[in-house]
Amino acid sequence: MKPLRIALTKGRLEKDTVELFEKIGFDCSKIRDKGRKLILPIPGTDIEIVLAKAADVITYVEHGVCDVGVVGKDTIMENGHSFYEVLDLGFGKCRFALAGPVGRPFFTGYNMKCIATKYPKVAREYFKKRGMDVQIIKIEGSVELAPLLGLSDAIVDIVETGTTLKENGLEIIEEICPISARMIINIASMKLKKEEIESLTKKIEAVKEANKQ
Amino acid sequence: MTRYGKMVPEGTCDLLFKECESLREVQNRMTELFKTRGFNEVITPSFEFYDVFTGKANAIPQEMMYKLIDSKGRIIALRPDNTMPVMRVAATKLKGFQPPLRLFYNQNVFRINPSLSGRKDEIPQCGIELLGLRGIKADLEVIATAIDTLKCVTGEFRIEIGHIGYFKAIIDGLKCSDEEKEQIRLYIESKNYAALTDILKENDNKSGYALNELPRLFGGEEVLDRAIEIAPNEAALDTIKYLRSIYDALCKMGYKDKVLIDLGLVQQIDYYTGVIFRGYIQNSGDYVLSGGRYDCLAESFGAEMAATGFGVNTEAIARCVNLNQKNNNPDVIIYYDAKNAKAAFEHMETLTSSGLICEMSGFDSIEETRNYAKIRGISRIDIVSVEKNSVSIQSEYLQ
Repeated sequence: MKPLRIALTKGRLEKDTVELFEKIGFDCSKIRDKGRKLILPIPGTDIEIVLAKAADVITYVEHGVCDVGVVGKDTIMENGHSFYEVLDLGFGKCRFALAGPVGRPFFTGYNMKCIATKYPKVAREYFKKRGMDVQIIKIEGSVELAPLLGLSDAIVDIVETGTTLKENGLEIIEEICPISARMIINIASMKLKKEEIESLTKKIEAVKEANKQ
Repeated sequence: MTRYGKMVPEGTCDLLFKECESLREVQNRMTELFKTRGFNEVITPSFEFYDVFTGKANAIPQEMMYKLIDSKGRIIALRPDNTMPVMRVAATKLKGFQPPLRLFYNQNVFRINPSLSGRKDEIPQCGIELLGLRGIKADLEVIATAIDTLKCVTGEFRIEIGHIGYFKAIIDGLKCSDEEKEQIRLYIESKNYAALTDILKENDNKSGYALNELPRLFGGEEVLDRAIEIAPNEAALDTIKYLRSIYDALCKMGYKDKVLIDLGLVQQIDYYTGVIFRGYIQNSGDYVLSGGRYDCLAESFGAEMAATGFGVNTEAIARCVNLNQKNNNPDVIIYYDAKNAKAAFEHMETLTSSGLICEMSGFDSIEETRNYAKIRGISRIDIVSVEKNSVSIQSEYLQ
């Protein structure tokens, strides 16, 4: 049997996940001291950790080359197709929000609004639900710039504390949905490696319960 | 103007040599199995009217279909599915036939996938349809055939079975809007436990509780016991009893370690009406076989016909399993002068009828033939010559 491969989103989610894994008793020394390696074993288990960019975690899990993934709900909403989303890990919390210049009404007027975002699919879904036609422009970095420069009327983006918005004269118009880190599972792995995956999710749920108390 | 004459469109591929053989081997083993069980082949057009694929019970999302416009302005779709065309045939041309009908197909489907997703847009499929039969014997026959279909190409597989009736019976007891019901279904399908618990918070009753458990109800026999415990109504209970009798029968046939129960199989609820199942094999990240019962599908074609069947992605299987393949490299190359063609081709027939693979040399000189044989790894050259009406054959063996 091949080892159980778990893809982690590099960066902050990786750190949170490693802490979680240490709490369930995994030896994560190899990941903490990884150098430039991208595939790392967890000694004493039949598990391998793969480090990847958020959207790639989804791709690897969907194709089944990784069995399990840890990735933000934001990435799932923007890139997700078919896999099981079994656990809300409770960390990496933030939210999707529609934001625009302070004091400027957004939902009035008949002109077609223009939205800048890094998450075109999320933005499209949100406005589809509201029954609103908007023009969506994809921006790669600091989306806050777009309304300031007059390119868009508002933005759809991830908001953590709201400080960046405030410092740039923007405010939340409406919250879209909360975001946190999720554990996702390839659908074939769920069936073919049921025992290994269930034992992993049970351990994580136990740690989550313990944290609550 | 950019020209694309040297490449293939995204989502398509050329299959060469071993890849072809592997695919054909998978297809042959499966279709032979279907034939031995009394299924008859149908071939339907590669493209059909769009309307075939957009019935109430069987709507395929329009963004997934390759479309054309015919000379009268009507929309044509490249076949995105095999069951619907076969059902169309059954509901029209085979209307007067004595049921049950046992049909099989072995042809490609075409689907538009998101760009750069690594998915195939042209997918070779084979599968069966058992039409005009209700009841456990038909369901069992189809599921057992599905198991044997995977078994004839690999030992490493699992089949999961569920019953759409369980979900339908429970959700009917819930007081909420159709949109909410669809959202609940999606959360169950994706085993999104957290979101499901959240959306069901207000349904503090037996139905809500059962729905919340649904995505976890997969595994062995214990799943059925649990499903009976939490079943909120008679209808739900009946579906589990039915599923248990199928599961028990499959276990008695010796498939216990190959069959899983998954009551969280709730996809395409307008399409499926009873048992529903999927098959997985080692090394494939997606299911390779899917099927179930769809008794309402024929209504889209103006007929009433019970139906159950499954389709298999033969290309995915050919990629994932290693079937013993024979070596198709030629054993012999025959060199001859064009004026001796008759003798050369007669010699070829003698060799091929004894089971050897023969290639006729197209070169004008024996040196070129030798050179070519060396590169291609052909170890024997037969030189055919005719002198005074007598044919002589001289064999050269290369190391």
